[in-house]
Amino acid sequence: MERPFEMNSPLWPLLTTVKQPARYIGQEWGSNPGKSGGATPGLRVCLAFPDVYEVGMSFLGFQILYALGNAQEDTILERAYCPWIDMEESLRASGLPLSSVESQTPLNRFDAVGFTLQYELTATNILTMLDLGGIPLRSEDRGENDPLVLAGGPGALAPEPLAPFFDFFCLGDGEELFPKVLRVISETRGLSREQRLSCLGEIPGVYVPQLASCEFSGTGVKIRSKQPLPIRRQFVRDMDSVFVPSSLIVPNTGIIHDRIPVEVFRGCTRGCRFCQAGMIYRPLRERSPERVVEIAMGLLEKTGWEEIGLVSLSSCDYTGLSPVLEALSGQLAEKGVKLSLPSLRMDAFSVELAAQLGTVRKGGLTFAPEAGSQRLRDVINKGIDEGNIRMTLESMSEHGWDRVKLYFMVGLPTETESDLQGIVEISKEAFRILRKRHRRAEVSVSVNGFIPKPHTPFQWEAQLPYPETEARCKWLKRQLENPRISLNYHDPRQGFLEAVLARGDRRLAEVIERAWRNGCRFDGWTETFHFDTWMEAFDSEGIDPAFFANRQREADEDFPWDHVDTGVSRSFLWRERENAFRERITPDCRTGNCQGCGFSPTDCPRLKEEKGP
Amino acid sequence: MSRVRFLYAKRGLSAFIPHVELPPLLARSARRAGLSLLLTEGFSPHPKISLGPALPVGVPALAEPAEIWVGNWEQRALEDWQRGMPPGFSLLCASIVEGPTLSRLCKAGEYRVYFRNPFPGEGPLRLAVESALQEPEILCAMDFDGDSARIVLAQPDRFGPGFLVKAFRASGLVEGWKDLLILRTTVGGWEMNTVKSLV
Repeated sequence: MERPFEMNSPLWPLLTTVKQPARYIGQEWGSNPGKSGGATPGLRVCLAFPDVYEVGMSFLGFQILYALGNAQEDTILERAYCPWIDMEESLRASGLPLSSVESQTPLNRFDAVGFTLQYELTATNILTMLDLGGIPLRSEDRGENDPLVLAGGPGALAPEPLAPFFDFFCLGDGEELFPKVLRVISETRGLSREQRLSCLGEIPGVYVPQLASCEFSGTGVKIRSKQPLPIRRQFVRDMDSVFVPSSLIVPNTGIIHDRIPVEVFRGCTRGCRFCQAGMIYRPLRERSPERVVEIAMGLLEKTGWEEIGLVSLSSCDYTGLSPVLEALSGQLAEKGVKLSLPSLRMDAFSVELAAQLGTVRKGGLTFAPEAGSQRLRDVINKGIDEGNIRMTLESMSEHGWDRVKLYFMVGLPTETESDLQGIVEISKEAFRILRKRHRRAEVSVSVNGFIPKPHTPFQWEAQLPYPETEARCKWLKRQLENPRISLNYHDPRQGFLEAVLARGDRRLAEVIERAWRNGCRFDGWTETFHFDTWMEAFDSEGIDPAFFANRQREADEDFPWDHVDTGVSRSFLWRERENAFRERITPDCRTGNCQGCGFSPTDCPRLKEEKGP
Repeated sequence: MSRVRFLYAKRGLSAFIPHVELPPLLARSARRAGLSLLLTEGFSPHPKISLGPALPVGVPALAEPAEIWVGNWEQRALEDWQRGMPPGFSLLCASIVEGPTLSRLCKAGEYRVYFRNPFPGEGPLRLAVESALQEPEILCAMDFDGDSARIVLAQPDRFGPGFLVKAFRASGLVEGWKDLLILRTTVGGWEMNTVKSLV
């Protein structure tokens, strides 16, 4: 009897021994739409996500780029995810390369491999993927037959620690950049690698680190390049006319955000001073309610997903929310499809909204007051007061919720013990309010150490040393003795490493490579994080990590991300820093005046509206 | 509302999709085909789907039974539904049914076992299975074709590929799943010494 074709798969025996093998198989509906069985494509590009499948498949950016790339003539896009440690070991033991999930093509057989930099602690995973994919780790070691290795995402806006590992970075919205990049990659085939990088460097928003040099003087770093600096981040102007996939890849297994993501706007002008996303994705660009509904219903029909998420940095702020909900809720309820908002603002309106959407009651609601006192919330420009917090909790309790999760940060600039005491009081007050109506009331408090990120008003600030962050977290835990109020905090050592990698310069690449060679993997995961190995790597390279994370920076220091222009001016960030220390609120420009963050009236829809035609 | 029983094949790498993930996968593909699905009652309603006995990951299947409750089932619905299925899945046939639940009808499962290493031989294989069974009647049939074995086991919800691998490992014939490939060829009733299809 003929043996089944499954016996011929070299991957099969490996899949029988690893955890969650479905991570590695692809086979989703919607992958490579219309391309299978076609003529040999001209250009093959692999989108590489440096974390596991279920995290990577939750990333909307790759859904967009995948469809956008595959929509180009003679171009085929595939995907790869970082193998978990057991799979990495199995691949190495069997001598198999890391391959794309669609066609099992090894990464080094693609014309280009594009990573997204969503989180600093995926740095070592990038090296794992390059190495297992048969691609030399460093740009300078790659030959004419190796793929071009590129990166985009928020991490590309402060790219220096990873600069030696990439041939080029794409700064800004993929819809703007990706088609141009694909065209140049395709058109320059046959030229030398050096010539190709030089051509790519002519695309606005593309940064080629090999064309740049770093001059370290004192505490700062001056970056000079053959490319004109700064490199300006590129962004989509109109969310209604921008490319949107007509279908999506639908996973076969549960993923972190298992729903159709429909963007309602991009950017945020709330102006929280700690928030990198709120600064680097400006200006605020809303999508019309009609277009949101059209996209949602189209994707629902095509994908069959049972839930739609209206996504953005703060969907409750979307001005078109009422017409969208009105248009969608009836049609969706009929089909048994749920509608969700990923983040809730702390006000009664948001709770009403959650109630209207039928948000799962047993999971409770999640809010982020961020700081414990009004003074500190004003420092960070959080824009909510005690009244909002109390009213939100009362309202959710009235609507029947008995559980709440509250997010706070410790180590924010100017924090004192009374601010920490404020966290304790809010947590106890939350419990007291929920308990009035619910015998089984529960409050869970989640605490993160503050990370001063590049391109934010707090980019000049020092991070609290991690032992002190830990001491503050432990102090908070001790104050909350009620077993129905739980407090968890993220490992402050991971927050420290995140700060170092976020704020570092090109010298850190040596440390990253050494840590990886010494076994560091999945550093964002608690169970696989090896802090001591990282510290040994810093030590071996003679680099003090505290220099990057825990040092207050001078007003005029040259930062290793100064060659990137996000559109928000450094003077605006400094002004916001000063306002922070004066505990002065800066209003949202949607409701107040333009705050002059750096965009011109042609680029900022809000400003255009204010100035008139 | 029609209770539709159908048979599907799950081949290639799709065999690694866990059994528990199949209801959402089938529901999504059915919705893509425009089928209107009956939702369960309760706090978190979900499409009403029932599957045959669970298969471990890594076991391809040629004809698995399942049931789905559909509001607008038509003759050509199976064809439309197939177009919405992910790679590796084939819908083979379907019919509207009534009567006992699927779990009560699944009396036996038929498996074909292939070895990556040299075939251990008929005697050792039979001995391995028989010595692992406390109830001999569970082994309904066992025969050989070249270097593969056909094994039929009763009570497929209790005795399946996991049991076979355990039995072969206990007898030292394999180290584990990586050394063999088990295919479930069919699962259904047990009549006249054959596994009877439920559709």
